[in-house]
Amino acid sequence: MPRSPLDLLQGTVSMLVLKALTWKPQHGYGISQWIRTRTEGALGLEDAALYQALHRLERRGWVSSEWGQSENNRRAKFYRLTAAGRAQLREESATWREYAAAVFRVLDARHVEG
Amino acid sequence: MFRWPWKSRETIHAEVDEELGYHLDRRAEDLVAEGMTREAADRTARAEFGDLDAARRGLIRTDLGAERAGRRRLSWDDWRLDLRAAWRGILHRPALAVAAVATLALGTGLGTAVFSVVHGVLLRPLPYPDPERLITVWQHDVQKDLAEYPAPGTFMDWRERSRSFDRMAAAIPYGHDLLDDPSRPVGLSAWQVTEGFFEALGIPLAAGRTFTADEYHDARAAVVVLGHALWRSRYGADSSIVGRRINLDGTPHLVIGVAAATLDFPDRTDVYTPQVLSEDQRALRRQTYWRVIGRLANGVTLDQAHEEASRISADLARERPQTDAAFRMTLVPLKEHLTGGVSLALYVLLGAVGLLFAIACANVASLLLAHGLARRRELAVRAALGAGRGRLARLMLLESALLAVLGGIVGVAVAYAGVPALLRLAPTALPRAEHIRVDLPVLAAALGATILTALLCGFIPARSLTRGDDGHLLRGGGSRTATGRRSGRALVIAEVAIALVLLVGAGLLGRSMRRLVSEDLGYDHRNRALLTLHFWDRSPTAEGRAVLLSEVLRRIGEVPGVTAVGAANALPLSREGSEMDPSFRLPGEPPAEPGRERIARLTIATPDYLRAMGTRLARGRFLSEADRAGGLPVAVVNETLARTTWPGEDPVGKQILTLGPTRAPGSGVLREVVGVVGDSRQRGLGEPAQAEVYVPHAHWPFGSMTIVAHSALPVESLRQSVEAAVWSVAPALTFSLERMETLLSETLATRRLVLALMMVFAGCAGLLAAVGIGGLVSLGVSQRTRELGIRMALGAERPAVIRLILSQGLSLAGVGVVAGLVGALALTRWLGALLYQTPTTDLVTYAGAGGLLLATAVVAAWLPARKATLVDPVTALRSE
Repeated sequence: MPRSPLDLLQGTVSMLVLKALTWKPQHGYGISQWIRTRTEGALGLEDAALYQALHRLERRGWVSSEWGQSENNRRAKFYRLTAAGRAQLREESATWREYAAAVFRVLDARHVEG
Repeated sequence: MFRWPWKSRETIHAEVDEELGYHLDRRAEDLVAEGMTREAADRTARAEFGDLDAARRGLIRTDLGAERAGRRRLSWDDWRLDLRAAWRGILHRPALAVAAVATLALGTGLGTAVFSVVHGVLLRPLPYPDPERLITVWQHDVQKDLAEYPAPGTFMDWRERSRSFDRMAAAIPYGHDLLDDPSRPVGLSAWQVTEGFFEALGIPLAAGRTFTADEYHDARAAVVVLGHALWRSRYGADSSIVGRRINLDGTPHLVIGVAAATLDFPDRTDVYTPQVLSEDQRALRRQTYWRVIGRLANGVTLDQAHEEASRISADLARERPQTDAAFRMTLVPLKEHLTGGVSLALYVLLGAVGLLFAIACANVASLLLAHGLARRRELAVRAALGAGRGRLARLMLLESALLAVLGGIVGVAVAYAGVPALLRLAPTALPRAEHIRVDLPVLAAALGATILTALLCGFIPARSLTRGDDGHLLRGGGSRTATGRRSGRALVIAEVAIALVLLVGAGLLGRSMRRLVSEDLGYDHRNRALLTLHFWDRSPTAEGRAVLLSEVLRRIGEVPGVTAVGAANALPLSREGSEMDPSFRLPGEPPAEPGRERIARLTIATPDYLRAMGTRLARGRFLSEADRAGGLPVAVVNETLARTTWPGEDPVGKQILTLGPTRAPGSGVLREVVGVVGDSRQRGLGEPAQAEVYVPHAHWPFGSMTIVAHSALPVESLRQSVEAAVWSVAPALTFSLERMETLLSETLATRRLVLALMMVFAGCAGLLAAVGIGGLVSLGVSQRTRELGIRMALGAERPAVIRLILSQGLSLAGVGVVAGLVGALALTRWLGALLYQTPTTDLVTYAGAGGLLLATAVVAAWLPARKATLVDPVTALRSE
């Protein structure tokens, strides 16, 4: 299915958020920090977009949320990956990998003749 | 506590703000830790975040949408789960389900059936435009206190003087022979109608036109409007019959129209012909057989019309003191006229079935309650798993709703099939019976009843089982069972009380019926055939018709199996014939002032009439062949006339001055009384006795007579030989032949139907109450198995234990009976008008109903009591 660049971008943010929740429930700030660290800030992902993605994912049932205690003992909203979210992450990352592999195959092509 | 997982709009706003606030704070704190000042850190955190306000709005929008979708899904899921749990709950207790559904089906089915009757007969509008403006007009005779059809002259005066009516018209019963095939004449019933008849009723014809003004004024206009049923059955509903001629009584009549199917006033008939009003008719003020209907003018209220009617009556009484002094023009709305005789009975039945319905609900409620007590462990488990009180109550209401719906479906199906069958059993018991069916409004009422059932049955168990705090619920014990048992006792007491009310009602109706049928009719209705025939077109004079009649009587008398035959102008129970109730005087008595005359029903009879009717002879002799034309004028009187006129004297040999063949008011014939006979009830059982005079037909050759033949043979087997006898005198003359027994039972049909239904209701009510008592006692026994075991282990005798348990059932029934007696005293007042010579406080009925219910309670309680004593004490001690 063809995807517009915006879709792709949104899809990418969702995927990163899902990925960030793979190991343990996390609040929004934690997710933000995790992505920032892993990408070394290269994506320039705005937190506004990250939160919008989180709430959309929750509405779709891919993550669920509950209020809990944060590391510094404050009330924070924690997100948890649901089973449906886990499946979605698998699917999306596979798609993304294929896509990226295709792009790399083109970029890495050497001119071979004869 | 039960809490909906729903978030309000405010909660969502606050949560989004808190979430974002937490993020910004944490980021700023981290930045401060890296060495930034607090203000700079806050600024940077916000700048990094992006468009904060847009994000905030976006998150709130997303969350609100999610919440709405979630609520929809969640509540639907919840209901579906509970519905499925309720359904499983029912399936797991099939015995309970069958009992409850059967009980509710009984209640809903009988309720639906009775309501369909009430709706069809009383509530459904008449099939005419603006039916509430249609008014029947009667001549009320204040002297006899009887509403009569008016005489032609009276009708003409009313019509001319009244301004309250757009139209006022009359219909006069008549008969024709249809001679399309002269060898097979068909007797037709007919209404001769006056100008404005069709217009007053206001329904257009099915085909053709009504009579023109000319046709209403020209006696020779041979035109006819066909009744709808005849048109269908004989002419195949073919509209081309309009414009053709049919042979009525040997004269071709032009068919000009076909009446609408719904036209049924005064009743359905075969043909309509125009009645020509003449000035001669104005003089006819004693023959009362004109059915009058009027349509109130727009803007005129019934009260105004009543006022005008009394003015007209007063004027007529002043102008015609000789004839009209005792008459009052009386208005009765058509609907009231049609249904007035049965509306009280039907509303009583509706009330009775409502009571039965209540018992059925109470019974199912106590069933559910008992089973609820038995399953309180299950409820406790559900509560432990997180179901709150509201959720449990909803579950139980859903169970009762499912049972109610199942019961409703079965009940409506039974009513749908049963109502027509019931009506076929009693075709003449109800007016407008053809309008009775289970249709949309009736189904809507049944649905309403079903919802009501669900609430009534579910509410008490749901309330008393889920009462108390959540802890109680979890422990599954204690006070709730006590509440439950109290509710159960209250339900059973109510059931017994209502059942008693119904039993008393049925008992009163039954005793009234027994009194009624044990009354003396004054004649013998068994093995009698009524023969109605008209010689109008066979002889133009009354004398000629009298000769034909005596010849027909002679021939019928020769028919094998006929033991006696006679004729009279008006026979008891017959719908035809011309009744006369003239005044009479004693010799030497001056004419009484109008309204104070002595009145007696006058019967013109052939010599064998009284014998053929089986009338009882008290003194003297019957009329006989000796009373020939030209002979001494004689009369036979009845006991009431003899007693009131000559108290304590022998009436035989006395003389009375009564109406003679010239029939002019004031003139009279002096007759000698030759015999006294028993009182005849003209309209059937229960009619008050009236003074009667029988005069010989030979002295008064009246032309319109009805024949009665006494024969042990069945009426239908007589038909052929009687037809041969009649046709040997008057070839191809049509006549009707009816069993007097049938006619008598038709006069009782409504009472019989009401009585039968009340007995069914009372029987069902008694049965349900018995089941209720039995169920409660047996529940009590099962809960006290241990206690009873201890008692018996300690040496209690079986009879003592049985007495203990029986006394419980009896005390419940006793309270219910007392409450029911009070209720019956209050409610049976409505029954008074339906009873014949039976007071609504009839002691025997009350005592009998109470005793019957108590006896039923003993039996109902004895079964579980006996079971309790069969329990092995050791087992009992180990239980629970």
